Amino acid sequence: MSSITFKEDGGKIVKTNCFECHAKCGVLCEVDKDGVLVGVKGNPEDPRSEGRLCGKGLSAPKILYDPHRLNYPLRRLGERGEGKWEEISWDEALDWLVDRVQKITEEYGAEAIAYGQGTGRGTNQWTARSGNAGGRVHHSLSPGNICLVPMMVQCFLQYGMFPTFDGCDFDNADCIVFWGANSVWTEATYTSGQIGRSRDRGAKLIVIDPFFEHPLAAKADYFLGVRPGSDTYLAYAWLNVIMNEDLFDYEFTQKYTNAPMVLIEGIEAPLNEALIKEGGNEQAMLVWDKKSQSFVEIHSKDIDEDLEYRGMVKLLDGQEVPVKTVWIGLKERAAEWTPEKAEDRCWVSANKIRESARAYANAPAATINVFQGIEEQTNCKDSLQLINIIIAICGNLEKKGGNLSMPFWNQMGPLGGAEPATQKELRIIDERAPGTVYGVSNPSAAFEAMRTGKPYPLKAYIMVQGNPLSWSENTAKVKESLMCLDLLVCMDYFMSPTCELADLVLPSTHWTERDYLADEVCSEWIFGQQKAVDALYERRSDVWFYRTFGNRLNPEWWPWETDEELFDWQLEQTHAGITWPDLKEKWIHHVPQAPSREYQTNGFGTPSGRIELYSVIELIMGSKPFPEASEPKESIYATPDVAEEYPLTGITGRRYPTYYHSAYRGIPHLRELIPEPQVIFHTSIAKELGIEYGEWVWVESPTGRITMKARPSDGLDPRVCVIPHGWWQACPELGLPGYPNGMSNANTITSDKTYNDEYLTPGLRSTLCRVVKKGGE
Amino acid sequence: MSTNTTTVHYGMVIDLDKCTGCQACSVACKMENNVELGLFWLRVKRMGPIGKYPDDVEMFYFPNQCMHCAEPSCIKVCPTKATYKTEEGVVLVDANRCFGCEYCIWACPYEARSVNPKTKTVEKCILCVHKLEKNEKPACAYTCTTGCRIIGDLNDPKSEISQVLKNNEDRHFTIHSEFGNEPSLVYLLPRKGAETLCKSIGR
Repeated sequence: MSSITFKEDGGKIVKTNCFECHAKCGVLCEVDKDGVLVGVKGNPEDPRSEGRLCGKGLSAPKILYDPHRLNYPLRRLGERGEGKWEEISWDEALDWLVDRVQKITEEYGAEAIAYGQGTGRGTNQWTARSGNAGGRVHHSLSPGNICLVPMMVQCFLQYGMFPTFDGCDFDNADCIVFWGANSVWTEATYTSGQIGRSRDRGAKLIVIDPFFEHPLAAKADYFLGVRPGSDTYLAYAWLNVIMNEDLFDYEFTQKYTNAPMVLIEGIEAPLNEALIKEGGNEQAMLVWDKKSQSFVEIHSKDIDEDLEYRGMVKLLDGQEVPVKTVWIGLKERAAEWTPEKAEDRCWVSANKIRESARAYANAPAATINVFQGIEEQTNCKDSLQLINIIIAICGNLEKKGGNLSMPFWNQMGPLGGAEPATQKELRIIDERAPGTVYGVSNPSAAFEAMRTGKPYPLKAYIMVQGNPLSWSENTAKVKESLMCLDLLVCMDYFMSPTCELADLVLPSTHWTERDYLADEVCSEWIFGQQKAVDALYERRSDVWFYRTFGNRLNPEWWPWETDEELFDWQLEQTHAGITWPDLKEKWIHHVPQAPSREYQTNGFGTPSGRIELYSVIELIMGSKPFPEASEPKESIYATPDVAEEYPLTGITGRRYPTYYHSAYRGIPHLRELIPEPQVIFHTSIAKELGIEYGEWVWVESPTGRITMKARPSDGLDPRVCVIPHGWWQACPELGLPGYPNGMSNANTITSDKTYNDEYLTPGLRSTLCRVVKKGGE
Repeated sequence: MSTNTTTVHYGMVIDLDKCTGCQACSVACKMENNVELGLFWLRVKRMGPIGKYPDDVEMFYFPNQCMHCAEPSCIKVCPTKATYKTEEGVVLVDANRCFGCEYCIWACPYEARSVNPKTKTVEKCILCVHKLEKNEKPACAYTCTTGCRIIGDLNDPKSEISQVLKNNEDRHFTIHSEFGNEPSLVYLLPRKGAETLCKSIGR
């Protein structure tokens, strides 16, 4: 059936996909005979969303025709940030931009240019490609370190696939766990309906979150009100229960994980074949085979791996060393974290830790959904690794009702182009964190290079749908940095605070007026996300901009003459098995699944071909192969001196179901639902400070202070507060103000002092802060 | 939905155990019916959280709109007969007859009605009758991200709504039943987390 249905009155219904968030729900766009978008509703033929659609998607006509949208390319007149612009044509804009980029490249080298985006939602690869084009690094300065990269990469390292995002099989699970994730608001349409059905048939629900206002907390069989950033202790305590009570899946753990891999005690490095056998392969990891009573290579078939092997081994050099399995190493670590001991650190009762761990492990099939509550922590590598271990040893991978691989994540790699040879040498990092796993520059260090010219000058920043004055920690410093640039280019829907500082502002098309592929976060499918109406004014799609600009600058890397050619290349690279014209006609296409779905035959895409509880790759990268029971680098326990002045642990970035990050406070019917920024803290604190509901208060941290309206709540620990992000935009139609200069921007108070060692992640979800009554301070 | 309109009694079930407060229904209502800014035919309210954190707290979301009562108190007080009930049980306001006296607003126990400041007439949820006529679901029920809204014929024992009501007899909740309005919107109580709080709806 065709993706466009023409109506008798001259109008049409277009099958396409919403782009307001990553879920990319299937929609039906109704266009009248004059080409005006009159309505949007969910498409019941989308097997994920089944016709459901959230408030953001439904608002498409209002967003498309909003009078405050950017419509023409604007070039700066006057001083940076002065607000004086001239409208220019795209041709002029691109000529000017290409010329500026070439001049900066000649003078400072390609590394003086950064490319960026916000959430991407399909431009990840093009931003990366811009950064890689020419084989010399141009920085990809995007919020990957706080969104998606830690959880995705940690999964790739341990699993060779990524099953904790769109791979959660809520519909078939017997136990559903939300761990630092609120997907029923953020990817509502393919989460809530499925969960409702599962709960109707008795599936258990576990919510691990510091905030009882998580929409499922009250309904959960177990609500674990964890202290922000203390998930490592909780996860170890779960492991403690699961391992000691033998609740794990023995066969899966023995056959399909590297739990039986043998390590040399003390140094905890793998015992490899070259150490014990003349001419042995040093890449060959070993397990003890109970059948042949010998060490055999971990890929060997038809063996009986010993999970609990322990002994002395004589090495070729004559040394005798004690060895033990990964499983024993893990068990010893978990033994230290009894639920009672964890309770002190994570603020969840030992009893509840035990019961919830049993509920998860005993369920025939259980799925864990992880997200930014875990990611945006300075100890995110450890918590993510631990959660991945829990999923694996309970046998919930590639299992109906568990966590499933989704093909796009394994296919997206080639799209960004090969990493430049200069990536390592030109990377900007500093003493705050080495970034052992995520090999890009620390955004914070890159911003610093804009200000200081060290280690070398960063002079230009070109972004699509990025607003670092909202997404980056310590916003005041970011603003200072942007003011130092020679060239700032922003493509966006609206004149964001970052656009205000730009040299060139480019108007972006809304999803209803652009063609693209919907593949990322689309589970097992790919969709032809075709436009419903022609682009208004001079708006262009982000992909069009990247391609056209890239083609003028470097046609070797950007050879495509049309968007359609690029789509076809993308479909070919990702082995989707369909061409753009066919996909556009068909709208939906089921793509081939990852080999690990048949892991019994194919194994997993890791060095050992098994799930890696102990991460060999992380060992090689200079990180720790085992997870640590680590504390966030800044916290009431790690930095008690800071906590003395700033006793609350603040979670920034809690979502609203009707806004997407910093977008859409200007859309009147969305703004009237949530008109003002509210900081949420415990009722007892409000009493103590004499603060009333709705009163404007200060929220202060060592980094800065902001103002928000007070909303006392019973739904959180008195030592925690919740600070929403993304507030900058005014809504003139409702007479509601904007919030300039980061005055109500959560990231004005987040710290740029500490970062995760592996993923360069700041602790946005555990910011030490305090709430202060206004007046008299 | 039944096609025999003479015997149809439209009603809606809202399962509070499923509602996540995502507000998609309020936006859908606004878009479908072009509801003025500042007016709401449908609102989703957060009830709570209230109690002692973390183990003794209650919270749920409560979508509130016209209950399309079988015995609507709004009709009884309307001096111009502007408010009326269709044969299918949908309560409507004829804007041509309404002169904005607001008696109905006072008479409605459900805070479901408001005056449009531009037209000076009273508005409220119309259960998307224009969609029901075409055998389509109201916009709120169509878009609901959780599947918590079931629309259908209460008189037809085979309809989905009747089946859901039958299968969840222990969770039925009609708000302010003491007024005798006999709402056609029946809520299903949350299975957990609102044991005492849900009794406060409408108070």
